[in-house]
Amino acid sequence: MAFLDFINISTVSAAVSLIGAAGIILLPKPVDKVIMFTLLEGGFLGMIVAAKYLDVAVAAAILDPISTVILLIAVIKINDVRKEKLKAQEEMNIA
Amino acid sequence: MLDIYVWFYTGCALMILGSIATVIGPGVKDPVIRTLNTEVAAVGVSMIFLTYNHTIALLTFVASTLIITMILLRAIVRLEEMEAKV
Repeated sequence: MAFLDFINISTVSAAVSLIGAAGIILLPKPVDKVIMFTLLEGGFLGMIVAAKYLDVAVAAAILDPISTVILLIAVIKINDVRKEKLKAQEEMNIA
Repeated sequence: MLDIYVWFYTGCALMILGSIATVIGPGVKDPVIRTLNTEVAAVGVSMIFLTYNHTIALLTFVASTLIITMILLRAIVRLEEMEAKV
């Protein structure tokens, strides 16, 4: 079982973060990108834990979801702004 | 001691991929998508800080990335509201 040597917390975290990075780069919709960003941060957190810096892991675990929430709020707000702009433009075209 | 190399090479890969994706990735006409792509490079830099045991730098970098993302997205939404040409 030589390949089981490769399954430790570092390699699994590296795989998770690479999957998250590929998802962020390749998926077109912003909400999908935010979900994949959470995956990337999860892999990064696993790497910090593998380095045994648990105090840094506590701080990163608090700060990362805040970043996700901010991104989600921004995506929702910019969707609203664009929809309203489109509506205003249509009304101007009709009138 | 394979672990350190795993962190370092993953960080380098994320940094290079994120930088290229920020410049010529799919759909970067949209400023939100471009800002989201820069996060990949930021996480790569954090992993390299982790390799060299710079914990204080890592903490500060994560916090400042959060704040700068907040400000950038606020500015993007504001510019979109004002219908400015970015």
